[in-house]
Amino acid sequence: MPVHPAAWWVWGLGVAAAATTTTHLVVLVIFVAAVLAVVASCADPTRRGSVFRTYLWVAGWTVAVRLVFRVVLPAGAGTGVLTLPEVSVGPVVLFGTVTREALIGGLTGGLQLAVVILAVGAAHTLADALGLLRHAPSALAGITTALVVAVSVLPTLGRSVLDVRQAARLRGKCPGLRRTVVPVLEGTMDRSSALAAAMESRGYGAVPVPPPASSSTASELQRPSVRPSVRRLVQPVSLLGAVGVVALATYALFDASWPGWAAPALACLAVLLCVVALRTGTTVRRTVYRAERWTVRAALVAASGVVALGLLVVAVGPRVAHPGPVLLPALSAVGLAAALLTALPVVVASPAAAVRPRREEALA
Amino acid sequence: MIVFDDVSLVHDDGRVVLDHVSTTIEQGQLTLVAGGTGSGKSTLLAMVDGLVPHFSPGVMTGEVTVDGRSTRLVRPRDLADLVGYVAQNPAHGFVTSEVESELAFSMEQRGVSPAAMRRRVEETLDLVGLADLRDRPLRSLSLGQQQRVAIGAVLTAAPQVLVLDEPTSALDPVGAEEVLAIVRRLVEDLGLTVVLAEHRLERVLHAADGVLYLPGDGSVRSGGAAELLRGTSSAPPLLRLADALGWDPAPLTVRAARHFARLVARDDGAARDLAAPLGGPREDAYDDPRLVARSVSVRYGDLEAVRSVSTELSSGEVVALMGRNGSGKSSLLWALQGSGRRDGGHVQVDGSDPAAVGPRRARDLVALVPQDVTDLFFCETVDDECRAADHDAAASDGTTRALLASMVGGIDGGTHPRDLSEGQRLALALAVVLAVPARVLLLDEPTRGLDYAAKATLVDTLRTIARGGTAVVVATHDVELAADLADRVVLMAQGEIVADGPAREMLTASTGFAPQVAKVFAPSPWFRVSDVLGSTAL
Repeated sequence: MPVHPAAWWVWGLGVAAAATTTTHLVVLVIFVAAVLAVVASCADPTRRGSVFRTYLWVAGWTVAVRLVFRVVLPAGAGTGVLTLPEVSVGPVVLFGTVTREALIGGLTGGLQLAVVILAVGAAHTLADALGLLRHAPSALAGITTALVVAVSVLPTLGRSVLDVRQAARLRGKCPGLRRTVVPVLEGTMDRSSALAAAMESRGYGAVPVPPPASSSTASELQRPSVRPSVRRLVQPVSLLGAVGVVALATYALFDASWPGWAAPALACLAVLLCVVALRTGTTVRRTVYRAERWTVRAALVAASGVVALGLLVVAVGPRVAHPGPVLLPALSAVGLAAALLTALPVVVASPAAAVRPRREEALA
Repeated sequence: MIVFDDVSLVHDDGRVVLDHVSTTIEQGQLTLVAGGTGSGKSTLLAMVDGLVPHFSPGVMTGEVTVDGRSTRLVRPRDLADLVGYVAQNPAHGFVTSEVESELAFSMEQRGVSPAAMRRRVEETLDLVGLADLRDRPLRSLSLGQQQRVAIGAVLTAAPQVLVLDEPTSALDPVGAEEVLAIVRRLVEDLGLTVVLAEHRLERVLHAADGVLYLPGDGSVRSGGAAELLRGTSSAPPLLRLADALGWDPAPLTVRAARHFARLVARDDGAARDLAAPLGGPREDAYDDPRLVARSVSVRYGDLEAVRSVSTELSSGEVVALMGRNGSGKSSLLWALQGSGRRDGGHVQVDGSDPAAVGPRRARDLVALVPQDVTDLFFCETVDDECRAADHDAAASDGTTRALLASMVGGIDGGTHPRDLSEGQRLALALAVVLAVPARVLLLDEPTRGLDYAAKATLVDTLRTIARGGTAVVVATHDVELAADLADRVVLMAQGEIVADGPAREMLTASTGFAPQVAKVFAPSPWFRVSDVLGSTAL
């Protein structure tokens, strides 16, 4: 029994968030190692090759680019490790003395971003984003189906750009903008209407089959007293509101001029709006084929990410979390525990416990 | 089961597609809808599902009822439990990315309980023979498998009517057989009513209980295959034979035709000398190689699409490149043209490599008509397209338009390229890539969606081009076209050339790729209708 996709995303986002709260080099390196270990031990081998490799590549480049920038645009004072001839381009001075502090700063900044990229990549590798959307509450079925379709169709757009550019060469021309855009857009329009027709004829948006008599009473069906047009608007409006409020809450968290209670209050408001959205969508009834169950292992996986984040925010002091430009800063026991905790899925969710022979057989 | 009551459909531009059609389709029958391109077959099918009028422009009058439900009053989505509709290109209708979730989609939308859903998906996997592919991403499947997924995906909603628009047109002969076998099983075992449109009638006619024939004037005729199709341009080879030789009743299956064939054989002494067949390969042609390819290979990641293929193409010969879906035909054509991927080997045309000389010169050496010809067009009208082609090719004004007129007459210059019929569109693509006569012409699967008349035009056009000295290669699944057109057949499998020889020898020797005439007259070397006619006329 594989782990619920939502658990992987909670874990991945927890690790990503934890990485943004610290500039401790050792902790960041442990995060990278933990994410790699989890992917190596828990992910489907084919997805590891095809999906995670891209994220790994981008993360590596991020660190490299941050370091190169610190060499090209030196800033701040400190211990020099390398002196290059200065080049002036207008007001900007390039190269010059590269300091140890600048390099460490570049490395930490790069690693922070790399952990975020790798953690999201790991979540995507371990649990397809599309698979996650399928498990969204059935009240949001309309929105999630639209998202699933949009994400599934996107790759074909890239394919058709390549096809059209190749075809343009057959006419002896290097493909210009018009020669690419016009056939691609026309083709996409054709495909979209074909898809819309296919979804329509397969019952998307149809009146659901009546549920068994026992599960729905007459009173429940008669409950809506608001006009249908208003009811239809409530869900999207409250969802959009929730997204907006979350953005505000994030802003409040990082802006010192907001009062301390603003972020929690806004978060509560967002939750409230989500509940409204879920409650108002009950006219549509959808089911999920072979839904994953939320198991103890899933709970442990999700918890490892969330607890690590909580420990770093609450229990680790700023001197440990942001130690300044030192290669091997001091590390408290709690900080070390928090960092190591993110590797918990290796123990609880590795395929030694969750063998998937069926899938491997099919791919072999 | 399905009743058309005085149905008419008029397009926005005033063209009458269907004109006061009244007909019925009985329950539990497999009905074949036949007719030329643009005769309204797809429209008729879409009406059964209500996609016309709900999902298409044009004005519809009259009433179509399925099991007593009017498709005008009920939206297609609410008909999903009654009518399953699979469109021409099933891949364009896929909503998810894996086989099982695609099968479950329509049930998820209708809120079927998870337990019932699971049972129904398992049943359907067995019904369409996909149990061993259940976890596979849809994109990794072959076209035949995708077609089966699309059929399975509508079957899970437990419809009583199945509507299939050209289900085998993109498939190789073996894949087509598999799909057709499943359709027959659905009719026999589940009592489904199946309505199926197809251009390649030779593939499906033997399975049909009845035929709706659309002559193209807006009317629909209903009846038996033999009496409706005999003498029309839609008649498949067997019926043309029956017509010419006076066989009565006309055989619809190869097996029935063999009975008559034995009579013919007895009449004129069987093994007639066919050493110099009509339109056979010219012996001198092979002395003048136009294209020489040596160990060409193409790889996509771990997949070796073309493995070290070596071949030569001679001036004036017409080659049919055949093989299963995914055997590397398209990859080979693109690699020979030079704009596609080539990971190894050499290609020489007139002493230069088309991949090394840039697109301008490459098109003078090798012209390629891609599978989806609409990728080539970017203008709003046919005239603009022709002018742009003249400009691209640095040809004098009007070259492309004249070339187009010589292939297919009567195209209005103001038409949008996408509004042309399939045959006209193919002719336009040919004219665009051949504005400068190329040394070698390659066509990738040109007959998809072409009716018999358009195919005959294509054969004439390509023969004329070949007589001018161009080497022509046609990648195709259409064995009847290969028989009519090719001097030589090259058979590919798993990226390699597995057989290469004169068309007659190749097509009569293979079981999967034998045309109807060859099947009927085996073991004689006849394989075209004209062989038999030429012989018996003596």
